Amino acid sequence: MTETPDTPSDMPSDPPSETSSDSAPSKVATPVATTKRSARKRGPSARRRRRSSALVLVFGLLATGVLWTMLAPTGNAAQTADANEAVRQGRALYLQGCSSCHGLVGGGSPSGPSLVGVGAAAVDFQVSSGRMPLAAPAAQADRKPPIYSATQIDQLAAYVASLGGGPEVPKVTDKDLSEADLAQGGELFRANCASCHTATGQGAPLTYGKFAPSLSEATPKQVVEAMRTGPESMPVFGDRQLSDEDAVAVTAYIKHMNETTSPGGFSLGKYGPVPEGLLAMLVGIGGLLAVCLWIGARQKV
Amino acid sequence: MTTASPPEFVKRPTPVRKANRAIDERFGTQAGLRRNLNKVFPDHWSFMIGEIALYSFIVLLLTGIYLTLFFDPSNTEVIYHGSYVPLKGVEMSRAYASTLDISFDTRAGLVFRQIHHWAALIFVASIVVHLFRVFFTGAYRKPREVNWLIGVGLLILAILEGFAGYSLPDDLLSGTGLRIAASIAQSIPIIGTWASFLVFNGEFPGDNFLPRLYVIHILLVPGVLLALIGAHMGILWHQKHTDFPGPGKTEHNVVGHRVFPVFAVKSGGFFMMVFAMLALLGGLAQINPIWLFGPYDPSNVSAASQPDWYIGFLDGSTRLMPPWEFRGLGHTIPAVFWPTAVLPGILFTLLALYPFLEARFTGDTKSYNLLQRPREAPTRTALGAMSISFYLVLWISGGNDVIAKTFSISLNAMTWSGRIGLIIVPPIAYAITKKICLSLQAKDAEVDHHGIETGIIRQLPSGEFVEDHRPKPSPVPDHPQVPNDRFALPSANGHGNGEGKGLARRAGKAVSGFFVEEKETGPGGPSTPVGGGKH
Amino acid sequence: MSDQTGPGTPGPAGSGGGDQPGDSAQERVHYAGYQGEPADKSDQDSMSSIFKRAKHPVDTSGAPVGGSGISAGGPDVPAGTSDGPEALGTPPNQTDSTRDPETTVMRTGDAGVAQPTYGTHARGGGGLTLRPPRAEDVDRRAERRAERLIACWFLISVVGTVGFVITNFVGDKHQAYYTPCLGSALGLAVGGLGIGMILWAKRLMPHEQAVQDRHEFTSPKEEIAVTEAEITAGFADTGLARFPLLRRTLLGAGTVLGGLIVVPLLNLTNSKPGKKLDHTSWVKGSRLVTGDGRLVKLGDISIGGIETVFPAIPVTEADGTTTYKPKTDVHTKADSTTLLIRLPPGLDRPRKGRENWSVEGIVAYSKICSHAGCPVSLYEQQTHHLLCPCHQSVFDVLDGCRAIFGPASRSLPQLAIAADDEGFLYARNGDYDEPVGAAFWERS
Repeated sequence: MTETPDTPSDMPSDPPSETSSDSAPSKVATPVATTKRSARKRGPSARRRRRSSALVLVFGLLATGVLWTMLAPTGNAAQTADANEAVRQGRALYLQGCSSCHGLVGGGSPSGPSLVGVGAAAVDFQVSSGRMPLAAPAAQADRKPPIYSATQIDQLAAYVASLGGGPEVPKVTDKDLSEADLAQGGELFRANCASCHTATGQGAPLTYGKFAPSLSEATPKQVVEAMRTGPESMPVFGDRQLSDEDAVAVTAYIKHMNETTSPGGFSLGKYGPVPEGLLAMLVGIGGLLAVCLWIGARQKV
Repeated sequence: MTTASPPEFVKRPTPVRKANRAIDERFGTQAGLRRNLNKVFPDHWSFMIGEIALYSFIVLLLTGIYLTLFFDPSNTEVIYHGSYVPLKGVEMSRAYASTLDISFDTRAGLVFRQIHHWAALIFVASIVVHLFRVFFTGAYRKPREVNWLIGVGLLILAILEGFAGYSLPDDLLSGTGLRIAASIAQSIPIIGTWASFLVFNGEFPGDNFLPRLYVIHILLVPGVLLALIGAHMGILWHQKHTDFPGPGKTEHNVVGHRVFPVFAVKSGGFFMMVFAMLALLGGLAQINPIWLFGPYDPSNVSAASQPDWYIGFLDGSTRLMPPWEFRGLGHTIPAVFWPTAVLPGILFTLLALYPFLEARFTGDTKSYNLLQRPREAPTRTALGAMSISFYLVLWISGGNDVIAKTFSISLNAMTWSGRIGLIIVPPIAYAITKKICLSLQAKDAEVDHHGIETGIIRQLPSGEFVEDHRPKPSPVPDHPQVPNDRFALPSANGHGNGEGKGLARRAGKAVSGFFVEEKETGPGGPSTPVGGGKH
Repeated sequence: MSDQTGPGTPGPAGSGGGDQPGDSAQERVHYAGYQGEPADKSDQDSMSSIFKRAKHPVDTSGAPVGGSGISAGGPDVPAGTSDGPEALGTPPNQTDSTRDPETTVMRTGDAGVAQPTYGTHARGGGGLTLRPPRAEDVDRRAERRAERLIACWFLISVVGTVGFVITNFVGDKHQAYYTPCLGSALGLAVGGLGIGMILWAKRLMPHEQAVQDRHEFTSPKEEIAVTEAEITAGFADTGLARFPLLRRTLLGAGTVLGGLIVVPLLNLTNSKPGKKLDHTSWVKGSRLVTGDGRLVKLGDISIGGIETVFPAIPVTEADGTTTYKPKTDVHTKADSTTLLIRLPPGLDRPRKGRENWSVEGIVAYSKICSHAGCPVSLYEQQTHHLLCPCHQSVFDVLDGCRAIFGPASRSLPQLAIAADDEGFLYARNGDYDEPVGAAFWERS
């Protein structure tokens, strides 16, 4: 699914996920109309709904037709077939790896929550970050190398999405990230994310062994997925609260923090005063005491 | 090195001598100059810890002056347009914006800012280590209690100064700290609300609070610090440094190097080393990256918000404090009052009064110039270990969230182990330390009795096996001892005990003779440098 | 030089170059006794002697009379132990007044070896155990080598300085290498000088153990008497004792003037506390606005979501319409910041009388911690706990944000909210019904 060309893949992510039913007609029409650039400049959902006017519909249909003939005459058929195949494969994977906890049809069990309605984004987040399947029951799932390949994750996601609703896997391209407003992202990050993940994105503990993980390894896609789905303890930040543009800006800010070299030397894990104090004690005072010893030492003969 | 006959007066002075004479004609400096240049300082390495504090204070002054030239302590809100992209267009105070400018748009700004901050951490840390040295060796005993008090005052002021500096950039981290400080001020019974309003100029965050803090940070506290450091050094200079007992060392002398030249050059070199350490830290280890924390916004907070290390113990005590809030009679004493105002009040009062308490309880009111080794005063050492363990539990709890995250421990478990540890660890530390001191003493006694074990086993004619013990070697100084004066002069040899003040001096000797079996020597006798023969 | 000072000599009365042996013998022995013991101890281990190399075979090299011939322990044992067990645990310095010198003599005499060690040395008999000279002292080439080494460090310092200047002016201050380079260069510049200076003092300057007497701090009794008498006389001259009116008025005036300090102190605040801590900026009908100016509507927050909101104050315009003016200045944010949490339906257990304070599972609590005023915002959407990052107080959102862990003892104040016809959330009752943030004395 992730490998598919622009046109169809824009389709699922474009409308606000919770209002997928009311904008169904435009969903068919707009994906082609919203070329890449305009997709990035999507306004709030209200504006988007307004755009589903007749004019846009007509234009969209026209454009769809044109592009259809030009680009992907057989794409849709193949796409549907692919999707069905993915769901089928995903179901097989699910029964093998997930059903013991989440139930045979995703209905959940005492040892695992229901997956009905969590959506493809949640699956993609949990599995691609290695949190699922769980290594062992703990207060919280830990990040580890994913067990499933990207294709398998897509198949699993497709299967769970087929169980019903939920946010789709978001699309975050490098171009989106590089054009995002870093300052806006930083503001939103400090307002919404820093309180748990720390201002430097290093993560912090919550109560009773739970914790907000470090963001240094999270991919942009996973960051957006986490915001939209609210994995485990994390609150949900829906798209009426943080628009897609805002979400990308936050992601870009996190990416910037992770990738920028610290201008002041070694960053000491960006944990703030605790490692700083430790370094001052161990290296600073320790080193200077060593100098004291050296000065005070009688010279060897 | 030995005392020689006085040198000739040089008729044709070089420029340096000319300057010296010019000064002398106006101030009469020669005797005092000689006295001070020939002052003897003992050379144990642990006596240099206090110097770390002095030198990092000098570095603080130097870098601080540089920073004042660029820093703008203003609460005025501005829109940032500097070169740090992720904050462009963000509204912030001028203080924060100018700190960003220092960090990104000022030549050598960031390195000096970081050196300044590291120097602050090292300054307080070296004061604490120096305090440990003074405490565990009994250097605070009479006649040095006043210097101990000044030292405690310096520690408190250094902590205040550090906190003020940490708060100046008006970033999210320090703003959170100020918020807590305001809540602490507010928690004081009866006067709390007023105190908070007076400090912050109104309800937190106050109006134009930063200029006020700035004056405290760059003028008020440093001024007092400077004066107290001067007094601390002056008293030290006057009373002469303590020393460990050793060959040739008595209660009535100082053995070591003269100020000029060896001590001066070594100390100068040590200053350079302290500066170098701070420069390397400042250049290579990033500290307080305020651009990552963002400008202060009272509605935002970063998880794992910590103060600098020297406030950490108060943060820890606050975290461990159970939710005990007194309510009644229409009034409230908040839980935050006890661990942040009462506890440090008690701790610092006990610390300041310790020399007097010890003298009181041991009944020991004599003056000492020779130090004790920790084992020689087991109770004091054990009390010190107890206090340190108490402090350490608080300090670790101050960073318990970072520790919990780093080592995947439950935060609640950290809090509870801190609460329990605070009660049980100090007594254990006390008992263990006392035991160690006593057994070390026993070991010393054994060595004194039987000598040192050699590992050589011999069979006696009777068939009995015994281990050879060799007698403990007698300690000897390993440098030639020299008089502290190169040239013997009848007066002005460093003690003012020349003939001019004969009566007073003799009387003083008489009084001190009560403590020390001491012979009055003839004029010039005691002033003649010890052991100084002309050979 | 060889006659200088064994450990015993440098007494305060010090034996001058050729002073009389008989005079100071007792005193010398006394010192020997009481210093020997701590010296032994300190040489045994511990910080005082980590680097002392006193018990070295070479110690006796310059000591013809020293212990080497006497002591059986081998060449590195120049002298026997001098302190008896009675000395243990006794602070050495207490001996001054408490220990009978006679005892000390006996103790030193017991050892047999100590007596000559201290005594003869003091006399200049040659018992002083000199440190052997350093290589630099005897070997001219070693001296040169040391000089070159030191010069090398000084040159390194120059390199560092040059590096600093170049980096400072030529370097690009926006690059990541700039600050580390400056710091390293500065470290090299001062550190090179420092290492060079220390080496200079250690290698090329003469080692010495200079001895200086300490002076007594206690003034002689005569002097005390005279000083006290003069102060008393001077005080009598002021007449304070004779003129009670003068004394009382002076005291009174002084006290009143001293009390004046309160005035500038009170001027430090531009506003009296009054009831300011009891109120926030919320007024009845205020809409809830986010930090970036969006008025919050129903449905904006997903289930399990949170949002930080501020008051948007209703303003009636000239034409009668009502507009909402967001208040997001720092002063408002410091006390009016509110956290909206949308709970899954049916979980909330509202307190009595607060049943209609939430709307569609959205509850509004003050974000200012009731402990020390930090923004409490670590919301765990599965356990519905709110954690304060500063001191780790935990609040149970379902139970009216009751404090369940940590130092906080009060629940977070709740803001009554409702939704209007357009779906906008607003404060239905106005302000919080109790003071937000940290507690204070006047609060009941």
